[in-house]
Amino acid sequence: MLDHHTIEKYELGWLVVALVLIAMLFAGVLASMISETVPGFFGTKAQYIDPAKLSQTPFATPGLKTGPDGALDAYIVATAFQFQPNVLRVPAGRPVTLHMVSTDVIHGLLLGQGNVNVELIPGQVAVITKVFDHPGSYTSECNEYCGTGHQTMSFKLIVEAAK
Amino acid sequence: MTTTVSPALRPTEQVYAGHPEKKVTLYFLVTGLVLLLIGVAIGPLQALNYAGIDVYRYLPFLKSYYQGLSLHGVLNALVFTTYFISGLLLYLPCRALKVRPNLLVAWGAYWTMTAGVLMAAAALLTNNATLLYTFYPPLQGSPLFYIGAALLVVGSLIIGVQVIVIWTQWKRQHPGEITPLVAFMSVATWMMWLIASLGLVVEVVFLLIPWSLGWVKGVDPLLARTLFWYTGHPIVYFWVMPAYISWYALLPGQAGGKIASETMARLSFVLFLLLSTPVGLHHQFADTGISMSWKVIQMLLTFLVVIPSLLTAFSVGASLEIAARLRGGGGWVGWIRHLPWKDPVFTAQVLAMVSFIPGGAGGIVNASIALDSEVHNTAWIPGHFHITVGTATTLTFFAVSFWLLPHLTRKPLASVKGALWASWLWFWGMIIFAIGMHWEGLIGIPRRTYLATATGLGDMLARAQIPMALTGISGMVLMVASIFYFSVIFRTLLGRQRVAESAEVPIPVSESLEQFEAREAGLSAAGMKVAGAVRLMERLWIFFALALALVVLMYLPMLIGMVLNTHLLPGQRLW
Repeated sequence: MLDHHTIEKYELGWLVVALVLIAMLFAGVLASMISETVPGFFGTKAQYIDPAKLSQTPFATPGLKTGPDGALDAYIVATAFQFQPNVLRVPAGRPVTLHMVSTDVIHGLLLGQGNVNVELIPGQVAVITKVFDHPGSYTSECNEYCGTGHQTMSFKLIVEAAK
Repeated sequence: MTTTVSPALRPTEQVYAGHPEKKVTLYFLVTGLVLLLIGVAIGPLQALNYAGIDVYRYLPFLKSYYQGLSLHGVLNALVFTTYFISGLLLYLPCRALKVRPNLLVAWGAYWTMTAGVLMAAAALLTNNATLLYTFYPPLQGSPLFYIGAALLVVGSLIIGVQVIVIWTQWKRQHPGEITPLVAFMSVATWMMWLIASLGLVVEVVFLLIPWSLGWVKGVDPLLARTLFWYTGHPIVYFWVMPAYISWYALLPGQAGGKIASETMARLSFVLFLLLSTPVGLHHQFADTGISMSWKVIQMLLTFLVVIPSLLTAFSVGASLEIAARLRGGGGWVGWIRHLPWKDPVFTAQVLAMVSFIPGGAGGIVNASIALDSEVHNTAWIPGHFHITVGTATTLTFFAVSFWLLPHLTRKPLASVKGALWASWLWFWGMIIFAIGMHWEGLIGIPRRTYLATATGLGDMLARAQIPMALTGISGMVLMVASIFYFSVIFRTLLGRQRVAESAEVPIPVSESLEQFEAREAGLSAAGMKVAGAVRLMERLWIFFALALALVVLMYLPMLIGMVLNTHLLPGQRLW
């Protein structure tokens, strides 16, 4: 049987291995984030809109809007138990800025593409700029429990190939 | 003339005469297990829902899947664990320190907790708290639910403070002595919980109770969520650390071996005390309104808590190998066969550890911001926590119940075979469940949704046929496992036969390799050389203060920002 000093020596070695592994993991994840595999690493600013006063904001008419400079902005409003719009069409290969907000309780949305997974806390606006590369139709549903109709709160993202 | 009473006929009270704390411990454990039985009974319904089969419409007593899930989550994750840990981590340290706890305080804690659970149960069963176990505002439940939840936590804190006080007094009466390992680990766990429970206590007492009673108009959902997860992640260490105590300090002896290294065992608990709490933000990577810098810092801290778990894997593996070699095992892996696989106390714990390997690995995925965005709020997450708290902790607690209930009651375990079947079936049921749920999560199926009646997931469901079937099957396996388990437990508790005091199942405190070597060398326990590191770690209050400082550093600036910038919302009842 090994004596406890020897075992402790091995275990200290294992502790060093563990530390190195953790350092590598942290560096790897950080590198991935900096290379924007996850949208919103840079330049996200907390924005708050009073959910009772959406009519004075672009959220009054949810959907995709093209700005004068051609920039694409999509406004999505989550309310129990539907997303407005519940089908969003975006062109492939162009940056789209998604603006999402909930008006009542917490909702959540995971888009089938592009690592967009947001928790929609009432009034806290999520702003994410993303290029959707792959044309197709992606279904999803509200992913934070919001009440009896939670499972009917669906959303579809349609990425259309450039014409 | 004295009459001798045969052991089998002794009145019940005498069983507890020598150690009256046995009775309160038994009440904590059994109440926890009875409530677990209710929570577990609902489990198969959840699993069938994730197989696309809707059983809820036939159930008159549950209004919805969400009511069932609220009961399942609250009872299993919050109530059962709190009772079991309060009983176990009161009894073990007191016996290790040879101190009798103040029973009035212990019973006070038990009844506080039970009053709380009854209140919360009334709200849950009448469909007035269908909030799931995370109860995020602005969904608003009955005040009974929040007050009940607060009392549950307060009950556990009473026990925690009691154990810490007992230890502090013991230290004063035994200057220079080293705290026995089990007591050291228990105190570290309670100190961690003292810091970690603050968030939940503040959220419930200062935000949710006044709001649900109508005393204040609104609550800030982001602030409440942040306070919830301040406690919500370290609570998993509160669930895991008692299992680690069993793995480190009891299992080596149960396997016939020695604790590989007491110093390292103590070190991992000190690391848990230091690092467990400032990590809750990794549940909020997807939240807007929290800056990315805080998220990245807490991601790093979360990774660091992996280290004590990796140390545990090494230590416990080494002690099992020592055990097997002492039992005559050899070879690189051949020794594994020589472990006592026919003993359910041993087997259940080893299976619990095995489940914790993929469980812990999945946890690292969840803690990585880049990977979390793929799995956050998907079925992956319940897949993950059913092999961590649902198996690593729960199956270890099953193992503990297999020796501790006979120890406390002096009634022999009703069926060793039944206990073995329960352990293996629980293990495989959870593994199948986890495979199904992780897989569904990768397809993108959301967690905790009434999937059987979902309308918007058509093409996803088509791709998830196999994992969904696995989830459904696992529910049935787990149902059989729980029938085995609870029938063994209740047959044991209701059994009439009691063994004599001399034949009582002992508390299986293991000897460490250090102690063994000293004994072999002819040294007395007092004459043993104590490592400097062990002496340093005895100062748990210093580590407590450091842990508190780290939490303040990691949370206070963020919380102040939120408090200065609150957006109050009224409650909603949407179920």
